[in-house]
Amino acid sequence: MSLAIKLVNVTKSYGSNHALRGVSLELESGQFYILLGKNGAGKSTLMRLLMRYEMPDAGTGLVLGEPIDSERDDFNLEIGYVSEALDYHLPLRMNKLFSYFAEIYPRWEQKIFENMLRELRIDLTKQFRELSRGQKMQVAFAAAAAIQPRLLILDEITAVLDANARAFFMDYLGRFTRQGGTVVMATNIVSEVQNYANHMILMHDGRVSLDVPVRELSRLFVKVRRAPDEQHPVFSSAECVEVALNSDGSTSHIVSRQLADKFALPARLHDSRGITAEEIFIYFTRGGFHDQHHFIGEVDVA
Amino acid sequence: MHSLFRLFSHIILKAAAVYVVIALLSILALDKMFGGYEFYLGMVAFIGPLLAWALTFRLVPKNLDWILALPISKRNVLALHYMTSMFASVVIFFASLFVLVVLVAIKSDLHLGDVNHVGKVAHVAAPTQLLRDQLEPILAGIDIYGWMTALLMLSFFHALSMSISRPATTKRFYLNLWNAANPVLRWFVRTSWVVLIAVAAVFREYFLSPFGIFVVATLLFLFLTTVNTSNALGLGRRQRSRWIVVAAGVAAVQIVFLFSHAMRGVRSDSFDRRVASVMFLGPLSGGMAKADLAHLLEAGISSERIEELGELYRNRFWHKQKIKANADYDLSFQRAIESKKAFQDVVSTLRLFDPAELRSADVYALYVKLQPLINDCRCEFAGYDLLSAKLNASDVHALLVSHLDAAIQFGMLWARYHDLPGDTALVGVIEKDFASYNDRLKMSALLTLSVLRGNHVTFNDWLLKRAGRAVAVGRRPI
Repeated sequence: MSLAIKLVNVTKSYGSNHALRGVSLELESGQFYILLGKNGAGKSTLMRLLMRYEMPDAGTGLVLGEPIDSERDDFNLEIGYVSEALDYHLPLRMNKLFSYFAEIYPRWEQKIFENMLRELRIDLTKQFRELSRGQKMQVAFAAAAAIQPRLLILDEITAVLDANARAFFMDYLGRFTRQGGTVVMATNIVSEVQNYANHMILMHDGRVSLDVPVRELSRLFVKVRRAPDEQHPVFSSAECVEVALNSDGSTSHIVSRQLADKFALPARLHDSRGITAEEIFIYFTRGGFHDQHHFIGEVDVA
Repeated sequence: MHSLFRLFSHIILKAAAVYVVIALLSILALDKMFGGYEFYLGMVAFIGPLLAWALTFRLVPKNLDWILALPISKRNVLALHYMTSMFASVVIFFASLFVLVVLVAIKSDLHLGDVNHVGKVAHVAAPTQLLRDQLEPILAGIDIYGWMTALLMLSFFHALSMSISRPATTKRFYLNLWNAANPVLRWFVRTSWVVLIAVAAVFREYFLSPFGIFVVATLLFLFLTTVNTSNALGLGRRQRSRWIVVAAGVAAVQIVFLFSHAMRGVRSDSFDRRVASVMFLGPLSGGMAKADLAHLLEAGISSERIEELGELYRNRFWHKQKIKANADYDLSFQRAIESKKAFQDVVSTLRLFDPAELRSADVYALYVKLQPLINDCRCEFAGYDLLSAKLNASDVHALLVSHLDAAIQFGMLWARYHDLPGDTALVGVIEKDFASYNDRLKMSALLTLSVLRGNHVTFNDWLLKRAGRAVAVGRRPI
């Protein structure tokens, strides 16, 4: 498969604040990547660099084959970008405003735009500023889809969408990736995204802590359940992290496969429910693990 | 970029149309209700540019987030902003003009004849010729300050049109600079303002000259705007450096042009141009010889220029001290005084010189010049500043018999303040001419006589000729 994005040792600082510290990534075409991380981990900075909003201090990268410090006009021609911060401060009706997009993007498909907004019941004769926050996001998303991009970059958009719109767009993204498009989505609401995502990238303090296919999670990690009176020694390990409190008073924990093998965990401890991306996020964040290689080794994504 | 420009032009044209309608209706309504039609017309001249600037700062900067996501390079984003800014200014200018013409026509102040006249003139001469004919005398007439104002305005509008700012980004940029990771850069940023203030204080003569102000303002307009805009657009270091170099180059061209123009002016044959250029460059007019500067001071310049040029002359050649009239071989006190045309000009010239170094001929020449000017303007010149002049009894005697009221007044004042051998001889001169004095001089003469004689003489005493000679005692020290 070809690479949609390739970053090599990219750094970005704001004064003494190091937003990105040598990020290296290879994102394949036709995949759905979710980007997780605490606030301030560097997700949005990474997104902004991919969109050329800012330039890296050091390092190199390619986005759809074009260098990330490119000064060409057509750099973003096949990239759709939706962010919570996007706003169209223009006193124009949307049908007038987006008619200009048809001139800007040669592959603009007005039908996609109109159909999406019709399904979401958004009136195109309104001005953008008259819409609610969620509706604004939906219009921006529809515009990003209408340019028929090869890459979609979505920065924290799920939080403001209602359940119906979220499901609508997730379905669209699923189809989009099946048709060869690439999605990179930064989000803090993991539960509704993980079923669509192929890949999970976890960032911490400007670095990539974890970069694995979602389907590999259950191979790399083990979810164990601790009853209130359970005293197995694995629970005293620092690498066994509590991720949830269950209704029966038991707690769910995540351990790496290596640790589980080391302790030869008995079957009664295994939690039959699958591991979620959210739990892995909590595991890394709560456990303070910043380097996947330390305890899961190299991941064979093949 | 063209599509975006069309999009923004569409909004600008709409805004201009709304502005025209609102301006016309509101001015007519206000005039109907409260009167003051001319005042409202004047307001259009202010509201127009404000509207153009408001449009400039709303269109590209406010929409930067989605514009940057479009397939457009940052260089073209800047070009787009520049074009929309210019377009907004031009459209609003013509919209304002249209409002004014319509309103004037409605109020019947504009006659068809005026319009026909303009048409005839335009028909006779080609528009380009008309423009050239208009421009040539204007360009020829622009002095150094005119050029400075024009270039500053150009830089200002250029900076406005280039200024793309996102407050949050700008704030973060300067905070980052203040907290730079590089300790050398951090130290430099945190101390540079102290260094700047110190340099400005030490070289304030340079910074406070019109040229210094021009240089600082030009650099601020172009340089800071470029830094700010490149920061708002998130340029890389290489691109940012290139932009800064271009902006610095534009600023340098303007500065060099104006400096060379002023330096040519310093050596110009035209007296007015020489004066203006020296004043403009301040201490940097070092290319001007002392004799040239002295020559300017000896010419009929106004009091403001005398003070400015005189300060420059004293700072450069007299270590900020007053000029010693008879020790300066380039500047002649008497020529400098003689050339002045107004009372205040003479006084300003006098203040440049050290009075203790003035001789009787200088003082006499001063009063010869001053007397008619005092008569013209009914001014007063007490002469206290000149009390330290080096005079003797015969010099004072010469003043007293000069038939110049101001000189006589000063002669008597000087005699009262100095204890000179043989000054009692002056009593006779004063007594002799007393009858010819005006009341003011008579009062002064009485006082002088009482000091010279050491007694108190009243006006009535002298009217009745009862006063006699007495020994001069009780003179006041200087």
